[in-house]
Amino acid sequence: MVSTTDASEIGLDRLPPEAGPVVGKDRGASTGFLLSLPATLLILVVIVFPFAYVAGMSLYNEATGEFVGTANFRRVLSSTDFLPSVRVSLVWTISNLVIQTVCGLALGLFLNQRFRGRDAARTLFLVPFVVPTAVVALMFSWMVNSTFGVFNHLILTSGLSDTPINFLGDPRFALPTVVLINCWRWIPLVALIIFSILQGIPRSEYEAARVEGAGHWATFRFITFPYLGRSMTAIGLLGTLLTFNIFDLIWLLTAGGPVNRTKSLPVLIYEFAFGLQNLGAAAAASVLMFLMLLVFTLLYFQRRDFKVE
Amino acid sequence: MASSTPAPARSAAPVRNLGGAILRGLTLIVLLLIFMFPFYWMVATSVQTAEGLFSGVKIVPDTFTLANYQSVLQSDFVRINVRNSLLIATGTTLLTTLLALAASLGYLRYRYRGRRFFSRLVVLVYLFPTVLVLVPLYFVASRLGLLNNPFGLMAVHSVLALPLCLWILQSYLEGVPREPEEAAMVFGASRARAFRIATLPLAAPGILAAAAFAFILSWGEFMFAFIMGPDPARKTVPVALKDLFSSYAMDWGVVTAAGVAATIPVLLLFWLMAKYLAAGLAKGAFD
Amino acid sequence: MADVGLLGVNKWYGDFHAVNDLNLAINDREFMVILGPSGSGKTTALRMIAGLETLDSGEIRIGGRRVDPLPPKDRDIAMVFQNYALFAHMTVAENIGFGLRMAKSPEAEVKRRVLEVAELLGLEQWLSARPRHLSGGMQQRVALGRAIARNASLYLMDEPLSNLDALLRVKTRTEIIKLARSLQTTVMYVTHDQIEAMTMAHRIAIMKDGVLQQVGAPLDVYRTPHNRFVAGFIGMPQMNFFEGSRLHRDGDQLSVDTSVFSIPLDRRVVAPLDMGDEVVLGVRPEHIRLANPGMTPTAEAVVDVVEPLGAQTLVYLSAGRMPLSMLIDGHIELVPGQVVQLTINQDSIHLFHPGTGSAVPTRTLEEAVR
Repeated sequence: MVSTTDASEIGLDRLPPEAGPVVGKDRGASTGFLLSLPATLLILVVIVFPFAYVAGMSLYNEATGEFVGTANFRRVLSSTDFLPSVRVSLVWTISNLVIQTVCGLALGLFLNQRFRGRDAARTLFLVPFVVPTAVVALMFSWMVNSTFGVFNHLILTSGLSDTPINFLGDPRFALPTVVLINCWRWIPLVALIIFSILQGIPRSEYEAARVEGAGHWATFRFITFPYLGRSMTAIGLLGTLLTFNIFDLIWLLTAGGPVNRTKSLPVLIYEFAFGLQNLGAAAAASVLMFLMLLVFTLLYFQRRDFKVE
Repeated sequence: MASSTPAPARSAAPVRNLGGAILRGLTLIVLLLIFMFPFYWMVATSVQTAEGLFSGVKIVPDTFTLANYQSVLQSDFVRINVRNSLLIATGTTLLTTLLALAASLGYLRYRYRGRRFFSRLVVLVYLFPTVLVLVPLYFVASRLGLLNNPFGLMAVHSVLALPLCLWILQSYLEGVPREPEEAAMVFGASRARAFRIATLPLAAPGILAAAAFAFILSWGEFMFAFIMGPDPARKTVPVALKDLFSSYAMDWGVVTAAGVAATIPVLLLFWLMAKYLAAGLAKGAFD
Repeated sequence: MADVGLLGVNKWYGDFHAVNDLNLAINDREFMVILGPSGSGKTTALRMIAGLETLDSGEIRIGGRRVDPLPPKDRDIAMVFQNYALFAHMTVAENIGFGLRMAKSPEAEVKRRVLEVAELLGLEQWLSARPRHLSGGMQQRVALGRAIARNASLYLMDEPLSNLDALLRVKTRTEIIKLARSLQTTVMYVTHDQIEAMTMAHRIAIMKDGVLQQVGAPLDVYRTPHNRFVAGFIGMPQMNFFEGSRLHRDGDQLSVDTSVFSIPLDRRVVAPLDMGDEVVLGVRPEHIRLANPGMTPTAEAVVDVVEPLGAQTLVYLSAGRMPLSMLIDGHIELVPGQVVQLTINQDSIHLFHPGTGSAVPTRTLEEAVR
């Protein structure tokens, strides 16, 4: 069936049988490894090793260097700040995700329509995301200023309230205000991701659905939604963790106040470390937060069947 | 609105009724108002005189001055903070782009042991709460005398920028045909040379996008810059802004002028990467 | 100019055995076409010769020199790619001269050679253009030019015509044949198009699922396919296969019987031991004829569909419940539903092993004696 070739026909008899090792494969393997080595090392040095270090630190008294076992953890857990911080973090994360998903989806669907200037608008909407956090904090601190802020000006002149609202200083308003500012920043990005997923849906599927007589709702329900769902599971996890971890915007706007109403776990860790100068407690709080997120991630992976492409 | 546009081939836009077009236009205006107003307000504030600012809120400013910008230009903000940030952001950009280019090349062109581990590790950077390494990094940096050292901050910023840079590059490079590179190899170029000759020119937009992202990230990063550079002479732009607007004797005209100054470099670079940002994010989410 | 040898070459992609123990020799100045459906390993084989894929085992030799450990640049080859693979930011002239520059030829020599090649391919007025301003056909010419400019010992072509439209494909095909003949060079040409293979090759190597099926001159492969796959793959329209046919002996007379008709055999069947009397009968559509009046027909069939091709007409019929197709002269007109008498010459039939699919040779007594 297979026509084989005589060795003499192709000159194999003229050369010694060995002609050096086949280097291609081995060389390729090590080159690939070497190329990604610097990036790997940097990540290990900046993220992985420090975290291993912090885990170790949580078991020691940082000032004296003595092993204290779970003392740091007990200290954190018994701190009156810890559970309220967990609560703030949960409210922060969930409210951000809900608002961003709903508004991002709406904005994404809007951008998916065709209209003049759409591409320019899309680019423009990303500006809030790329501007430095400190600038965002600065702009909004000024806008929500209780004396000279434009928001209070609008509220007073429109008669919504007789007295100016201290958005960041009033315990009732501080957390919602910070959440909304954060949403302002992230919604366009969420919308853009949704938009790019929508753009990836084959046009033919929509056309086929239209031919089959599906209306707007049916096409959304049976084509758009499943496509989005598939992609959003992975992005949802990323978004949850990123949101939970946000420190700088909160800290810049309120520094955790007023009366701890915006003191999320990252802010608490910062305070333990740099306010109270208790690195052991900060390390213990870090480990606790890591465990919480780890459990969440594992549950998330278990519930969603991840289709890795 | 839309009906007057000559429809390009790919967007065979059906001519909708006028009502729909008006509705879309209004929505767009409201959206732009929501997302752009803060910037307008910052700029509007920055060109007002102090008297103008304190005489009540006006949506359209009735005074105009460039004095605020003048005082920003003459302050330490430009002399020290902008200089620091430029240095760190440039260093971060070079470092990140090189690392990301090498790694994405290794990842795309070779099958090696540890390839999966690498891609997991990269995702970990974003899944991992970076606030958790704030404490040990500060601790280690202070012990090693790396506080206030620009290289320490460059390394940290590089790690923060690396994943998305990698994804932007990978998603871009995947779209660049491989055959020209292979042709170059067949026609006598070494592997590295073939990449440089055939692929690199085509990958330039992706590389620029990744570099722009790294710069923007480093330029705007607050948390690590704040912790790792407490020395006033080492403060970066975001840290200095924070000092400006949280001090009690604040002059909002100057503060907003500084804010505008801090935003301009970002906007200049932003258009380079805007197109590829979402693609990179989507890429990362699927890996 | 060189001969090429592949010896025991294997390639795995994970669990997928892309190239399975490939042994193949290409003679100096031969135009060898590797033909196969997609996934047959033909492109992988070519890419291994080019050095773009590594071997898992085996050897590759070009001109007697073992090349599989060498990077592509040291193999002295030129290649034409399916998607042209031109350097987008270089001019046509720079593209054509690329290989020579890489080889550090003197600039004057490069210029001279580029002009020469451009003249040969009719690219003179495009020399300073960028590839993207050229049509697909022109781009493929530039790719050809880049390959020709370099006097490589081996030319590899990976489906170079498949991105061209039908008319241009035929034209370029002829050009490549002319070029290859005039350059007196060794060419390995990969394609899934059996017409390209038949028209261009000195010899065809047919692959399927990573396994080499048969190597031979186009007409040899057409006339004596070694197995059922080759028989079905070479020849348009495809050969008719009649499953469940039986060899039947009645006294001295041997015949092959389908469920509907029977073809007498004056030849001896050289059958494998395990086969029993079941065979698959294969008959090419062009070997089925309409029976002339007075002749004893082999079979009777009903016309189902008639597809006029111009010079010839392709007719689909049913003989009993068996579908079959035949190719007849274009001037004969048949209509669906018509009942026709067919003859099949016993010399044009093929017999295949029902299990392995390999061809069952038949021989006349004289042939056997000789």
